[in-house]
Amino acid sequence: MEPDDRKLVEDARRGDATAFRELVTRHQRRAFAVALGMVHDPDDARDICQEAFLKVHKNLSTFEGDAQFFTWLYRIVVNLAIDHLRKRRGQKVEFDDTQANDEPDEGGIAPHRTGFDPARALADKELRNQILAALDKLTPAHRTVLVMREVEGLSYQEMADTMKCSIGTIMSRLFHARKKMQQMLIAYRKAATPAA
Amino acid sequence: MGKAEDERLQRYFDGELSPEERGQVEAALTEDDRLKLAALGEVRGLVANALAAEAADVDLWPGIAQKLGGGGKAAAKPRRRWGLRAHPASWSAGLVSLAAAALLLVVQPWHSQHAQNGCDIESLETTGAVATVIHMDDTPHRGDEATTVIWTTEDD
Repeated sequence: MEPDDRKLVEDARRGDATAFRELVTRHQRRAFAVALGMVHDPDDARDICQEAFLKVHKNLSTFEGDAQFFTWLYRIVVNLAIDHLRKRRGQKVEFDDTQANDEPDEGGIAPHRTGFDPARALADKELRNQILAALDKLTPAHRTVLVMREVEGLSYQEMADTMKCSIGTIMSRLFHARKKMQQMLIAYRKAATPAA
Repeated sequence: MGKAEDERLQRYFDGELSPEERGQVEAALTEDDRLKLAALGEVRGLVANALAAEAADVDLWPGIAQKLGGGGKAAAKPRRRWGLRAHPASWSAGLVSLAAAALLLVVQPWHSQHAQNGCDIESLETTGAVATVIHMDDTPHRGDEATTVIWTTEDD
């Protein structure tokens, strides 16, 4: 039976590099998926995740035994990604609630599907590129909540805590992010489908 | 349907409603609502699958090990572990396994003065790898039930 995260953390605290490597191996894909969804660039996502794991390693002694290791790692990844976006785009107020919410109401979620089978995203690189490109067109605030929710399934409260804003703001950002993703994917579907 | 209703539907989709509220929403679901829920599920699946697929082959360890320095370097390659029972026949089997792994093992003479932990073999020399012998007397009162573990780490 494989050791659980808590046991690996305990071993890593005692200097067992193999245990720490196992933690990295176990969680790197989820961490990378979150970082990539937020910053779009694979190299940047890789740097962010490596830095997050290094921070974890440095602070192993502060890890509380009753916490979930990935939750701890995840918060570090998200915060590093947010910092990265702020630096990259030079938009200090990008996560301001005012900017994120001050948008015209263009209606809700459309009652029809994009027509893409989600399973296809696993094997179709072109479709993945379109999805990643669509994510990149969202504001960082919208993108962050969408990734936190759709990839990691964080609750509204957890997202609000991570982004230091209200649950209402999270709901609004999530609503707009989904609506825009749907619109962009429908547009891509139409462009990719030859006219009859 | 207004934005408030859509947000309520979103909360339903995300499992953020109380059981009572869920019941109310389910009782009032229209065909449009069902289509919207399907659309929300589709967006979720596309985003999650796309990111999972992009992350499938990622290997962060080399970069992390490099930045960790000595400690990381020591574990940059996984250590292979063989657990051998301390029976003569098992020793033979274990050594055959090591030979099959293309490791040249030279069993050094075992000196009684070094057998402080009850291990018959003090050390192993290898080419292309460093071997360490650890004797774990996990059942001290049952004689030959102890376990000896050989760790090998490939040389860089």
